Amino acid sequence: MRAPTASRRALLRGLGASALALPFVPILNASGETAGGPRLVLLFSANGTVYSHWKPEGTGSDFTCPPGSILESFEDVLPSGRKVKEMVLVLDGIRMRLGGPADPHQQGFVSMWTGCAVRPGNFTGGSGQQAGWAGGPSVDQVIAASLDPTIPYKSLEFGVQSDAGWGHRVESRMCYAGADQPITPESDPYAMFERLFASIGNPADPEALRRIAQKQSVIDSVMGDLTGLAGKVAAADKQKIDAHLQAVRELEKRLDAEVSGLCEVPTLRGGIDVNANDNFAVVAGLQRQLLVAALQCGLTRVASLQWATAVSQHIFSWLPGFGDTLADRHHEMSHNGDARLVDVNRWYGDEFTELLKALDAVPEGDGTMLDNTIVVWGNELATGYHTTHRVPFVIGGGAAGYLNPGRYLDYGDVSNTRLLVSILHAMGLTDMQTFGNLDDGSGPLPDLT
Amino acid sequence: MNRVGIGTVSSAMGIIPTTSGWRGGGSAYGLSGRLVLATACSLVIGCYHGLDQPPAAGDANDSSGGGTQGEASEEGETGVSACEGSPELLAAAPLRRLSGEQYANTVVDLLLLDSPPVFDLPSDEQVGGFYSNSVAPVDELTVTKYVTASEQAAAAAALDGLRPCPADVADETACAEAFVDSFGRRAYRRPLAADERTRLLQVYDANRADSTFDEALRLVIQTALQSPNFLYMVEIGTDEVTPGVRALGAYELATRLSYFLWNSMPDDRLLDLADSGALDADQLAAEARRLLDDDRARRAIGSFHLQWLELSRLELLEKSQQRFPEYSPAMRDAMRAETVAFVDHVVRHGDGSLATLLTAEFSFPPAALWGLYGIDGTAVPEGDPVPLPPGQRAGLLTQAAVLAVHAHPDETSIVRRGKLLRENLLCQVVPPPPPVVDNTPPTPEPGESARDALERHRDDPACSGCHILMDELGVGLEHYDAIGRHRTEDETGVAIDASGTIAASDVNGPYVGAVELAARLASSERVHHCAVDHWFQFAHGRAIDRASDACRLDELYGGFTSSDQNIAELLVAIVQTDAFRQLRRD
Repeated sequence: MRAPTASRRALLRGLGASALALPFVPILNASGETAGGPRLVLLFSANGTVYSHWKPEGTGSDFTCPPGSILESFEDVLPSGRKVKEMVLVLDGIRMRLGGPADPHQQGFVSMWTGCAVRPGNFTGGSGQQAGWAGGPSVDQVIAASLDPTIPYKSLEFGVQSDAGWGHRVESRMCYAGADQPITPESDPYAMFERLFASIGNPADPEALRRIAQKQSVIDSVMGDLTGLAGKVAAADKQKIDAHLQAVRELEKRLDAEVSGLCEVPTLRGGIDVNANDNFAVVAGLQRQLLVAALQCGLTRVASLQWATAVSQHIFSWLPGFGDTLADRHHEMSHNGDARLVDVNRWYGDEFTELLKALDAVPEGDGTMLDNTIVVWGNELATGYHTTHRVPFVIGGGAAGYLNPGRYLDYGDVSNTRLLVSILHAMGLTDMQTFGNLDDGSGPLPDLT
Repeated sequence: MNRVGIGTVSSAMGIIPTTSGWRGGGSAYGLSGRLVLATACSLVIGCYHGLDQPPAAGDANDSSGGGTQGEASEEGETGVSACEGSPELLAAAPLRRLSGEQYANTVVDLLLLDSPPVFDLPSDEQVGGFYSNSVAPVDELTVTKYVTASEQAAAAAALDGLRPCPADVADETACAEAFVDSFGRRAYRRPLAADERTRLLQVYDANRADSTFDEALRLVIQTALQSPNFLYMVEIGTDEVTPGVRALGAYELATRLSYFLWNSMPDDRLLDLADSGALDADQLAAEARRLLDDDRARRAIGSFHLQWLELSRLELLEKSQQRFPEYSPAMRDAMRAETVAFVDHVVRHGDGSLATLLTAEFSFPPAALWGLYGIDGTAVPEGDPVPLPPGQRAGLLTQAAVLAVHAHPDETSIVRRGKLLRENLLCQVVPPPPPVVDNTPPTPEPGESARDALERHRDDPACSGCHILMDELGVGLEHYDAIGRHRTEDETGVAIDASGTIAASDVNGPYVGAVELAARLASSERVHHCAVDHWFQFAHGRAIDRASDACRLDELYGGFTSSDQNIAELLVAIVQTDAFRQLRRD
């Protein structure tokens, strides 16, 4: 039914390594000291799972993920010597709260991290209704806004072919700064590398200082124009100008960081078409490495990685048994109960595990970066048949002691908004007891800590 | 919306009059990909008990429970005067940020380039079926990309054509000031305010010491390209026409006009007219004609049609290499080029008629498509229309771009093609199927055509009620495979039957094949009005607000009829409406 797991995963590692030579070496934090407070990473894969092959065997801390199951890589060993499953919380029984004039994919994708209904707008949704964007911010952005403003990037959004088939639409944006304020993920690892690392200059280099001064003068003028315009436009438009101004301020904040430099950075040689279907796995590997590097180098504390889109039609052409017809496409498969869905979801499970391993490979204080991170992997649906009970959520990491990982927890039937509240608590926002306009007010998930 | 399939035949049909001409454009796998048949029809939640009593032919206001045209007609009877007089009759016009296309076109025109640098800008929002960044604000990534793009553009700028002095001028300061005035006016599409001028000059001053003269000027260009006055089509308005309604400023009007008809910035003449206050309604019409005569209009005409028919998806369109080894990026680019050349020719150089767009037996296929069309265009002079095989093709709908986009990677899609015609040509939205269905297209049994399999698949009237709205149009295009090649047999080797029966329209009744189907659609008043709706939305970058816009649309419908559906005349009429010239400011 499937190719040997080990060889497939070895291949993926090989592909990633050929494109980006690790490691990134933190300059400021090379001693391995704990960099105060947990980090958050949100992950997404599409079109539901195959519950029978996702659900671990056993309960609580006594569970296994048998060979062939979607989460089989949880039996792997981490760099620190622990098993992956000792550092995860498999969350069963979570129900996605849904709302708004939209279809279940759209509703689920919006609710997943925002706990909000879809707003009316200009995209077609179920029943021919006109869906818009999310009705409120996503949990990562609320957390990002609460953190130390001197962190170079409030948050970083990584995508893997995250515009494919949709462009800038509700199916392709999972993070929101607020209602109707989607955040675009960077789907090009080369552009992300450029943004994060390539502009770093040597503070002793006068050319770098000259470039900073130029950028500062440009920003001063642009901010002047934005401020002037904000006073002239209609109230509804002023929000757009204010958001623009805020974004420019963030750029300005980083001008100095460009000089200081936080990491020694390897070179990344470009060349592949990041939008080509068959390069998906390579792009995913690059983005994963860049995400870990950004955390490791202290560039951000909040990140997300979006694999494809809601309703993804990706073809997993590197897995066995895939051609290039309609029936080979992910969303079509998900409606057909295609047996290859297990392979598809296992591939994502392997990617999740690879990320955990990379985080665990970074020593930090008495443990590793994984101990100080909370990784949450979600989906817009439970299954391809648009069911939304038992959406496959998995948490990885220790969240700096907040979480008590190493367990399979079946909650029966609880709202995803409670998971969102738990994420807020894990990241220090313990005063928040609800999140999103679909929240029923029951507080965080019990028994996570 | 009727969700339980009870009630009258008409309401149960579930056609939703679109207020925004919805399209899944930009979506390779949009809802159209999911609009497939339900095998578990007992689980259908909101669809519709079929068309066992189809409305009579010619009934334009059938079945849709308040169709777009019906509402418009009622409004229209109140006369022209009803179009003006209160702010409620003018829809709000949100601040628009340039689309990616507009950005690239504007950079070319502003900086005197031959072609734009390859920009990496985020995807555009779609509003009213067309790219229009008018709801979601920019995020940090977008602004970061604007910075990079401005650096690219400034580095590429043809400075010798922009600098109002030689590079080695003695009085650099005076030259820099003159540059800021002349360049700034073109970049912001209006003269600079004093503080804006000061800020741009400060960029020059701050950097001149550490940069060359030209480098400092290029930094001014960078700055202007990052300014909101460049990135947004800012509309503040001037005097109140009626309470809550302002006339657009002359420069704002010039900008609306040029982005509508050129998809780019105004030229010097248009700015000069704005400056002299001469851009009144009559002059506006004359300018609209001048802009349409200019080759820059090809960008807007092409862009409109690519978006209307959802052909932007062509850019990344993949086909099964097993099934279509001849399909290549070059062929894909040729498909796009053909359609752009064709629509540009018909609208700007041909008879301008919608009917020609929908029925022409000629086109402008690049050589890469000759094999696909079964023609040899060698004898046709470059730029002349190429006759297509008689009886095989009819205008846009049988062009390879349309047929390839609205098909699956490996086979045709009767449903998708039918959905395109129903939604984008007839402006009626068919609800998606209920979620819990097996949406795999039916596999034909030996000796069975795709069409027959589809018909067998939708035996249950609860399915067919919705599906015949699409399928009975889509079957008309079955003579063309998934890359648009004409064929007489389908994927399974069965002879094509491209006959269908149009229902729920004003051109109901049986037809045979694409040529007759296209002619029928070309004669449909619904289709005429739908084209007007789409152009109106393209012009304004917003969805139609039926309550506010109905009256103006009705005027435009009437004018479109009088001109025998002449597109160019429609565009001139659109710019003369008060909706185009005024601004609601609550």
